[in-house]
Amino acid sequence: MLKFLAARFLSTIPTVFIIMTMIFFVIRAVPGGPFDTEKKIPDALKQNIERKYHLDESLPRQYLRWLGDITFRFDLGPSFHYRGWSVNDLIAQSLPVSLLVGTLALLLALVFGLVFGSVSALRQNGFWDYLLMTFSVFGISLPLFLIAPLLILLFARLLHLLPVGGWGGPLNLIIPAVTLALPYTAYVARLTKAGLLDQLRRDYVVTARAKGLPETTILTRHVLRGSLIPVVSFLGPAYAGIVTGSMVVEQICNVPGMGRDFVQAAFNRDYTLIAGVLLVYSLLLVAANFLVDVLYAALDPRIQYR
Amino acid sequence: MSDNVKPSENTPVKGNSLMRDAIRRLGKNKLAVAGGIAIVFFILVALLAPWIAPYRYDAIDLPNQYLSPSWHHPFGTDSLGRDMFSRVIWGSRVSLAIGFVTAAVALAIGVTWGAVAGFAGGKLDQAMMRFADVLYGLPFMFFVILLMVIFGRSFYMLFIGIGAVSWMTLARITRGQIMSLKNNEYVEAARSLGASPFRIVFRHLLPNALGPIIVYVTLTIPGIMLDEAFLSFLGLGVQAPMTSWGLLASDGKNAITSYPWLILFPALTLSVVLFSLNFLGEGLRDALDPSSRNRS
Repeated sequence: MLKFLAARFLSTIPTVFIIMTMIFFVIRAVPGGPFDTEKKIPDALKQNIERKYHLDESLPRQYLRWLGDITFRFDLGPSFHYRGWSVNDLIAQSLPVSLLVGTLALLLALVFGLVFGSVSALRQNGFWDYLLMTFSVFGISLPLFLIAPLLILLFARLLHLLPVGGWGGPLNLIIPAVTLALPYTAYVARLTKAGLLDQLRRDYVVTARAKGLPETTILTRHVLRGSLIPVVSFLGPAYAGIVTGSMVVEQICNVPGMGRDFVQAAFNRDYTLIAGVLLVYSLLLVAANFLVDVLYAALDPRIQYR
Repeated sequence: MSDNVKPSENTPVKGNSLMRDAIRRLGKNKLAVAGGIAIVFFILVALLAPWIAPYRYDAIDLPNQYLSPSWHHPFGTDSLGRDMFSRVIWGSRVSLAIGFVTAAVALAIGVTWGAVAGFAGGKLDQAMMRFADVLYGLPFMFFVILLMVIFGRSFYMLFIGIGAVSWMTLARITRGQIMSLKNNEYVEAARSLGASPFRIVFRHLLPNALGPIIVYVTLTIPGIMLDEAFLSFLGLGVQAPMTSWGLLASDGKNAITSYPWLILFPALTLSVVLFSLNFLGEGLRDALDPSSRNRS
């Protein structure tokens, strides 16, 4: 197991390197610099600004400088748009917010998805199965920008239970997290149901029943473990999806997170901030995929790292 | 299919062909049928928009801004007094067009990629599928957004950008189908007759793999429409005065509490279309492959 962990961890290094390289060159391919404004700036001034941000150096040098700054000091540089702010400061402010909402959403999706999926597998073709599976099609089809306004209208405007938006108290978390969780609850429920039904048909279940094991033991000790594998492998894409969705939800609910930062940065052509946010998201994704693989190996003894 | 069996006089024997079986199963699935009817309805609305919509999508009427829904304006009016009902009807053109055209782009890339990988096998297959796997794991929407920022927000970039991120699953499905079909005798026969690999894949293998591919495309279209709506909602998709459901919802996002109809009607319309496509797609899947009912 230790060998597996080490090998899997080492394999993330080239991935991270490739991602960093891609981010740098994609962003530098953008036509129009961050200082191209409507106003005409004197050339001398512009050169000074460009020197300050090292934009006058050759591309390979800029690339090496960027790589070095990040690897050794995790310094993402100054923001091109918000004068006086470094990207590190901006991300340090918004990352905890997004992490909190995203983690809560993922937990909600997992808990409710597993429960709903199990119920509809164990009551296959019954009332609850049809109800929950219909609900899951709704969950997959509803755009986030419908769910969030509906929740706001219902719980904030009509019932006055939750704040309309903004950030500060724990109540502010509920609407964004529930909105983000809904589609993934639906996916997890479908995967759980499929996994359970697939496992329940296996021979080892017959063996276990024949040995006289109580049904609950069969389910919790044997079947659940096998049927969790598709759910676990979905966690990587689910994480990526929640990150993407946070861009919409943070805008609607006025949450000061990284998704909102990214959209703003894209409009402002704030290269360093775009690169910083992309890098942080990618690192988180790589970390999430690493955890998924570890969980995977723990759940399924047949999986070995090649 | 079973025309070699001569029916005896007067008693018409119904062939139990796979296709007829599938259609019968699909007809029994009320949700899927309703979904299909709804899709046809919305396609008609989009095609006939100039004749159906009571106003043009850009007909500004400033004195009548922010009217709540009424008999004259079923979906209310927006900040410039434009009739939301008409705008939702016009928006259907962009939303549906992007859904269907982009699905075609994804279909072309995915099927070619998967067919080549599946038919070639070996090292090439492994390399191609590993590449698709890596792409699958990236937070790809961010790169689409970058593409839109870099190359401008044109209609064609939307097709290409979203198409480029939606083909991976199609490639996987096609590859699986091709791999399971390529060892059949008729492939051997075609090869011994001197058919080129290109001809074998496109004339002999793909037509037989069509069922699962069609099903998955039906399920891809709603995903693509969601992506377009998502981009337009962020202001990175379709540009005004052209409009789509995502952009309409985006225009309404700052007025959720004061003028909720501005975001609710376009978002609801989009949701109805997405349900319909999803129900139809799942119905098709169950009908074409009954054993899949118990899979996800």
